[in-house]
Amino acid sequence: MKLELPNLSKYSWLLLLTALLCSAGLMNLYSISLLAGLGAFKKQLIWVLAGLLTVAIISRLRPLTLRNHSLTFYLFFLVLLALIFVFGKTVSGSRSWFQIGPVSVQPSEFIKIGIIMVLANYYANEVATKENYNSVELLKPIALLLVPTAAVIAQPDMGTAITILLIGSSVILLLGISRKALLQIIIIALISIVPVWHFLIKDYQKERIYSFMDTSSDPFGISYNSIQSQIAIGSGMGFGKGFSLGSQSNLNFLPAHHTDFAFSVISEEWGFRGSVFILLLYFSIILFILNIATSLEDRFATIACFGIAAMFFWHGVINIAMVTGLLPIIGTPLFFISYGGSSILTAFIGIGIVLCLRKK
Amino acid sequence: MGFLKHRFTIASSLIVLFFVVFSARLFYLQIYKGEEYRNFSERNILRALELPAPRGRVFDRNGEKILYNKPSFNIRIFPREITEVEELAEKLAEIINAPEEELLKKLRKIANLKSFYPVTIAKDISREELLLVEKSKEELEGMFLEVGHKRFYPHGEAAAVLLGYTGIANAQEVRTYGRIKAGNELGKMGVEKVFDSELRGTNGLEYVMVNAHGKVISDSVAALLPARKSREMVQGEDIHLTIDAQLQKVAYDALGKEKGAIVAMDVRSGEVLAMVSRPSYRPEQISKGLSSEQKIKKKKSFSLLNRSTQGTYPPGSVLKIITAFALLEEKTADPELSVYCPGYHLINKKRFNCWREEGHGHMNLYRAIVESCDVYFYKLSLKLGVDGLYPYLKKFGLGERTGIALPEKRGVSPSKTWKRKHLKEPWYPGETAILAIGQGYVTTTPLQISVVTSAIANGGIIVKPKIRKTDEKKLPRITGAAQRLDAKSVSFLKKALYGAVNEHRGTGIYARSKITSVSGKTGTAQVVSAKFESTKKQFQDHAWFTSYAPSDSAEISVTVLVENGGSGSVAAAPIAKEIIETYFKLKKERGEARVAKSE
Repeated sequence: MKLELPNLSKYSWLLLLTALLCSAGLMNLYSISLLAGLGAFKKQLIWVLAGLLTVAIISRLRPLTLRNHSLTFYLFFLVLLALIFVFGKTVSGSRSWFQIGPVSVQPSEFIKIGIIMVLANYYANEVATKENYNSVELLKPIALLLVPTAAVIAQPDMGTAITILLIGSSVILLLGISRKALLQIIIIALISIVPVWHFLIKDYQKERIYSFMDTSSDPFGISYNSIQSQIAIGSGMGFGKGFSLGSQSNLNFLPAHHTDFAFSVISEEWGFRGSVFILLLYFSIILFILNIATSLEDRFATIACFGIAAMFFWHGVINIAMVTGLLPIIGTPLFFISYGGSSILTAFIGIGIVLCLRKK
Repeated sequence: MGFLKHRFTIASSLIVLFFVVFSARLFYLQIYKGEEYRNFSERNILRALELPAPRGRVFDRNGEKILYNKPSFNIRIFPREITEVEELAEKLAEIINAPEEELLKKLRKIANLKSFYPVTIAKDISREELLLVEKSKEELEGMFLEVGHKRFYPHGEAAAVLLGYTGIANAQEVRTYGRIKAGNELGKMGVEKVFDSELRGTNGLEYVMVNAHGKVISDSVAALLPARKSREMVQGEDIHLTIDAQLQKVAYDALGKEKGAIVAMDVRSGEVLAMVSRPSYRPEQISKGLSSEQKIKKKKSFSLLNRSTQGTYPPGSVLKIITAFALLEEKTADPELSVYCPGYHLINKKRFNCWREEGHGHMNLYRAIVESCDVYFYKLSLKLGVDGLYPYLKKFGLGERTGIALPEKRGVSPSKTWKRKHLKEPWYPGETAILAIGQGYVTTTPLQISVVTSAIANGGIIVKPKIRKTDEKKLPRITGAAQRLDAKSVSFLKKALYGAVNEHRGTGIYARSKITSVSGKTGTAQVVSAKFESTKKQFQDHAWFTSYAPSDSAEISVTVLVENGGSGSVAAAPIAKEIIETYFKLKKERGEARVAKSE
């Protein structure tokens, strides 16, 4: 896919789009803060500044340094994931956070970058002409993916686990799986479905899945959030209710309106024009990263960039499908739009890596 | 490496595909279904809260307030704001005078409603409770005070039955009346019910912004959102009654502890000046709730019933007014015809007693009315026949509603047709004889008798009794489809009724007054057969006295019924006299006051 961009390089475009999306996210938080106080907005502003600093630092690194430290990065966050079971803070049933002073850190967000990096490193060492990998060759990447996934499932944080799984699988699929290996994976997956459903998936998660199947059965119960989110989005109509006038979000009908449902607030207040604009910005960023990935000559860089694109892609797809009622509520933030330090920092690290890898 | 390029192309296509899918979804939600969701979101935040309109006040004919509102405080709660039921019940039990378990049960029920609308948990709390609530407002989650209006009846029991009461509309009433909603206050009895549509007013409707719990949020937040038109609360209309509150009170007290009814009426206009029914009840008992309404109904022998209009009794000798009128009109016999009363009369070998065992001797129509001789009426009514008498019962309005704006019973005005229809039996001559003296099948309400007496008093016009004063400035005037009776017969009866009170051996002598001239007729209606001798109160005769004054240019008629009171001349006549005298005393006082004022 070729994009004709006047004057600016695609990297500048990527930065510009990121800055735009980021501003939209901040503005949205400010809009909610008028009633809820400015706390979340101020914190997010600090996180954005920290993110920009991170981008500046990472983009100045040598690509090789990045590659050499991919395993270190991966292992560091894996250890943090393990330590969470000892020192972690429990928020709404999931033990996913470290509390360091006023800052909460969610290692399960950062581990996504680690997985992308180690997978890219693994595949970069293989022969470039290899079209598909058999099950023995796939053991290592699958293990690299499944170990942190299992840790996240144990927290339990199903939403993040699914995202991690999808991001890693995307990278593995890109490099190819032999037909035989695919069959084997499918068989193993099918066999493990029953024990996973019984032992790993909590009751509340099952309820969410049931509620998705029939949203109208209990509007004040489990599918309440999904319905309220759709009302919020739908009631925005063409041009929205206006800045800070989203009644759904401001009056607490919409739960978690500054995190997972931030996109619903934008849709309510800015209408179809606003929601599609954000959607366009977000998907353009993905396309730019993908475009950059194909243009890079280094195999590690290409795969890593693809992984970053996959990360943005799955976060976007799951979050928007969730808030528009196409998927059950599984709790995945929308990068740059949803409030949350770990997620926005992860997104910035992703952008930083893309910028870093452009260098030869 | 071509394969990798190919896979990248697939990935790009996927991204574009998802963008298209999501845009379509957003289009569906925001454009296609937008209107619907917008409406839904407004219902989500806008809650219509009803502001109860104060009911109209009720005044008596002199402008005295006899029914109005006092502020009352109700504790209400948002069901969704309740989190700790036990804790709340404990706190609430310290404040309001109710056992904790009961409150807990109530709160549990309310919490389970999950309603977004507030629910009343305590009605009309006391001043002490109010202070306590104000003090611990912060601790009572989801609760707020509502300022309501409670009905206040300054004359208490004296006018309670007449004025009736209000209650919460039930499902059936909502269906019948249409304009009200479940939970609204509604007139259930008496004046409150009859004039409900005017007294009720229109509840205000205030659209308030609420959060997801249904709790009203602060105005500063509401100000951010587009305003919604609210409906103005319209206070109920005031009603002016024809009742004279002071006369009403005297009449109520005059009955003493007896069961019974009194109707005082302006004979010229049909305006009801007093309408009493005993036993009564204390209005505060009703306002406490429906359960007490049922209790009163059970316990106090139908004290919610307005005996003046809903109680039907055999009229006894009072009916002789109509029989005499029929005899005169039908020219059954010369009024001067002398009939001998030996104290009884045999019809088909069956003995019919006169109330005076030793007999009245020779009687003409005039004396028969004054002394209330039964035998005279037995004999002549047989000549007249039931077919001759029945049209006059009709003419005076018996067996029909008088048309007053109150719930009313018709009573029974028997005839051959009536008996065939209801009892599937032929009419016997003896039944005509006892009908002529107001016994047997015939039953009347005190108000019907009041209309009969007023018609004689005003010179022959059957008035339609009125309870509501429509135009205060107009002088009392005969209105409605009035029917004029023959003047000659009326003036004969006027003389006779004067004689009944003022002549030697008249049955109504205990109503004789020094203040004014009184005319009247007594009645002693048997409840059970005369053979059945009993001293038990409930088997005693009903005592009637119906009267008017002044005799020559009548203003007021007073009809008294004392249930199981015994003889009409002893039990009822003195009560009528007291009311008539009060009427003229009040008139004099007010006249003097008016003169004093104008000077």
